[in-house]
Amino acid sequence: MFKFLRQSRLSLILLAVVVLLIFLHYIGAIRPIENSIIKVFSPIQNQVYSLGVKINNIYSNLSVSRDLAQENRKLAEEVNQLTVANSQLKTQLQEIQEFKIQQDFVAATGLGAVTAKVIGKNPESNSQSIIINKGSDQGIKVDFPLITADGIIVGKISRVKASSAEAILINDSRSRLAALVQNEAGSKGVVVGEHGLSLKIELIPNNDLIKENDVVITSGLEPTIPRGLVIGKISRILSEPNSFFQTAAIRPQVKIDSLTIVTVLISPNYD
Amino acid sequence: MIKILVNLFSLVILGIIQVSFLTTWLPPISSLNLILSLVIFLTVIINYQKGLWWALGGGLFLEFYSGLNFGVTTISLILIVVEINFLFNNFFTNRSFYSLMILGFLGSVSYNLLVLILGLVTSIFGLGYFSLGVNFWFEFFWPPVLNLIVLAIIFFSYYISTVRLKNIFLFHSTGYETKGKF
Repeated sequence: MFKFLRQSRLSLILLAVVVLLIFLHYIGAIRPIENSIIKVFSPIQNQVYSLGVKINNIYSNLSVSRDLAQENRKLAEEVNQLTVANSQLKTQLQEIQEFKIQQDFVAATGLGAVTAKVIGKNPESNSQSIIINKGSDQGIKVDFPLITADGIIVGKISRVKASSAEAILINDSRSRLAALVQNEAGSKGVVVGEHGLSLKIELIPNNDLIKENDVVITSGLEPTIPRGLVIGKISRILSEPNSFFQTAAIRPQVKIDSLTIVTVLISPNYD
Repeated sequence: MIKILVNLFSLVILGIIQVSFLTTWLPPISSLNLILSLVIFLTVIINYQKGLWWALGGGLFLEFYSGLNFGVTTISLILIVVEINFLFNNFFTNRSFYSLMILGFLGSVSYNLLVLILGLVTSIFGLGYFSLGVNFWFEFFWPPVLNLIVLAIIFFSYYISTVRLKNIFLFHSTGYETKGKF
């Protein structure tokens, strides 16, 4: 305790000095000294302050750049997400439009129909067939026609399961369709696919006059396929001089390899 | 004489850094009190008298730029030195790093408390104006924590730069060092 009191002597002296200084400060006696000290150190302080502000600014700028980079990354991600969402919406819109056209056509013809989504494609390279998400449960049977848009035939059902079905597209080499050309003679023929690449109509009598842009439709000779479904337009005559029949290349009306929604026409009395 | 000049020069440099450099930063860095940290360090590690002189010099320098009523900072610093010396002599007698940290924290909190009380007292006597800031509690408790960091930096800088602490403190040493010292 004694030691503490002995040690406190200096502190008491200093406190007394401070009290004196406070008194002198408030009566203004040491104001000139205070002002001089501030004046002497102010240039140095100004430099130090400027340095502090500069360092602070650099730090702030770095921080702002970091924030901007982060925001940019975030926005880029958002753009990607929106692009994907937009693309999905566009696809859905296309499907809805396609679906509506097909429904309108079916309603106009009075035929039974099942609208189906394409869920896959046959992986074999030499085969042009698609898999749809409707099957025998919905009344679909083999040989029923697949149409798209307002009455354009794109294929025929080749195999049916309970809730899915496989359809051969008209450009498949195995595809055969009874058809007629909408010319003056109403020429009949058979539309066959060519290796998934194109279509042609064969067995048109040689003396029938056919020309480019004549429309080729289904003839209605097949029990499951109604007359009048559009197949395509004649793009080129391929007749040979000594042949009994004419052949012509057909340009399909739709892109057959990019179907997403199709309608299967149902023939109620067909077994 | 040279020692006094060196101390004065160091005091001014430290004061300028505190007043003109640290204040350009955002809180809580701007609330760092280098003078207080050094005064506590000097009182505990070097000696009581040196702590008192630095409290007086540093306090007076800060008074010129402080928004507090004249004298509050200096008196608070001197009283903190007295308090720390008392605690050091009676409770934290071993000069360990942990003692320094505890005394540093108590000193910083007490300093804030003293500034608050003296500010209020002086304003009651009409010697100036005193008000509590919007972030009062933030400014009351953050600086002690930050001052501890400053104290730790000062301590380890001193520990590395001098052998004095190595003689005072208990520390993990090799057998060779122990043999050499005793």
